[in-house]
Amino acid sequence: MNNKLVLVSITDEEYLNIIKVLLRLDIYYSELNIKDNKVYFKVNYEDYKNLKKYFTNIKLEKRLGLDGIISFIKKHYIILISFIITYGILLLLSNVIFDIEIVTNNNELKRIINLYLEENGIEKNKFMKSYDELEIIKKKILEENKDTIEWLEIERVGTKYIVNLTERVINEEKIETSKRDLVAKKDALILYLINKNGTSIKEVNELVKKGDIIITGDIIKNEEVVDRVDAKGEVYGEVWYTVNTTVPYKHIDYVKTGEIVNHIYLDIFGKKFTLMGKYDTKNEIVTTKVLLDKPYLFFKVVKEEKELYEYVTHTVTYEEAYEEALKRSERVINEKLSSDEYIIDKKVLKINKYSSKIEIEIFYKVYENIGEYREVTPEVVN
Amino acid sequence: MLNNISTYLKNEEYRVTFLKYGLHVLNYKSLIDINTNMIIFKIDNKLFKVNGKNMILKKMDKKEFLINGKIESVVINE
Repeated sequence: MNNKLVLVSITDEEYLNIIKVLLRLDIYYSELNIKDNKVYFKVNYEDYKNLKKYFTNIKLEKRLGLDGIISFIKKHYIILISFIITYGILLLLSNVIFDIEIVTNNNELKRIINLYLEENGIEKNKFMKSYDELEIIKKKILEENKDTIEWLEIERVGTKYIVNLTERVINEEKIETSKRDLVAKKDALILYLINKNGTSIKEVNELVKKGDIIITGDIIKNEEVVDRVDAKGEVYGEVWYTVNTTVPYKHIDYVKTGEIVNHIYLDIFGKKFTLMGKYDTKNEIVTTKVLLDKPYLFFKVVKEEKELYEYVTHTVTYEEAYEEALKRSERVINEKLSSDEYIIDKKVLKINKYSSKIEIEIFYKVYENIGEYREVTPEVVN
Repeated sequence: MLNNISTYLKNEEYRVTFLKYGLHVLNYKSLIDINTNMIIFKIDNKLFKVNGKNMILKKMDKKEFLINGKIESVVINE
């Protein structure tokens, strides 16, 4: 017995007559409605067949439940199948590689990259690769071409792959062939001088200006230049600096709060749709990671890790600002110096005290390497 | 559904419920007469007469039925 529910309608019949027939036949129904001279109600399919004997104007409007769905599919199967096939074709075609572009002027490199791509299944009229597969291929190409490729990226744009790369440039070692002198790179007072090759022009405790020759490559004998060599030596001198530093009495620091907010969202054609953890603030440092990116999906799942900061205002006294200014000035000098260089002495030249800040000017004497090599251009003899 | 569960568990003899839009009757014995202004039904040995306007029998089942419309009065005759 078919107990499936159906929606029926009876036209041009008195409601009371219908009810009386239903009562007489012991037919149970529900959802009875009267609309536009039609009486609608839901009954079992078997009862509907029974009622057909009593009412000529009875019509099966709709099958309900699972039966209704099956009936709908049977009625519209052609359209449904067409839709499924069309969608399937669209999905298929959108995951086929129609074009590959390698962005470089180096034809040889282009040819090599093409071979790698073909070897790994990336060629026209084949299927697109997933994000993970692309990463593996990219790593492989970079590892096997360390000498020629600095950086490589394979980007998917629609049904096309664009390969961007940067060639590695190896600088050849420069072989010194011409002669050179050792000259002063700054104005200084020479404190330490070692001559390893060449003739010394200057001595310790002599003042030199920038560009002055300290050790020359000319070998002089009897006041004549008998030979030219590469001058070689070490020279350290006392160099002078003046540093101006300003320190405000109030300043603001960024301090990590320790709080991290994870924002996970769907990226659909460049637009963000939050799944969880949306948090808007300007005081954050964001690290982004792609969690899911498949060629057959039209979206990506992305996670943003936001490390939060807050502003903290600091107020200092005059003495603290003065000490801070001294520290900062010294830091400026020390950053320029290497391990064998140091500050000999310092002197505060000027202090300007304002309501919101302090300005100081400090003079430094620094022990520093002042030598540099300069190529000697040969003289043109007429 | 909860009502059905409650009815099953409680095993009430009958119940007549006034609703905002009509009347609900549970465990009736038989429907005697029906028209848009009056419905008569029997429960045990009692005769119920429902007076109203534009009444329709919205739903009818073996044990219950639902009347929609304007209910003016219900008279019980023993």
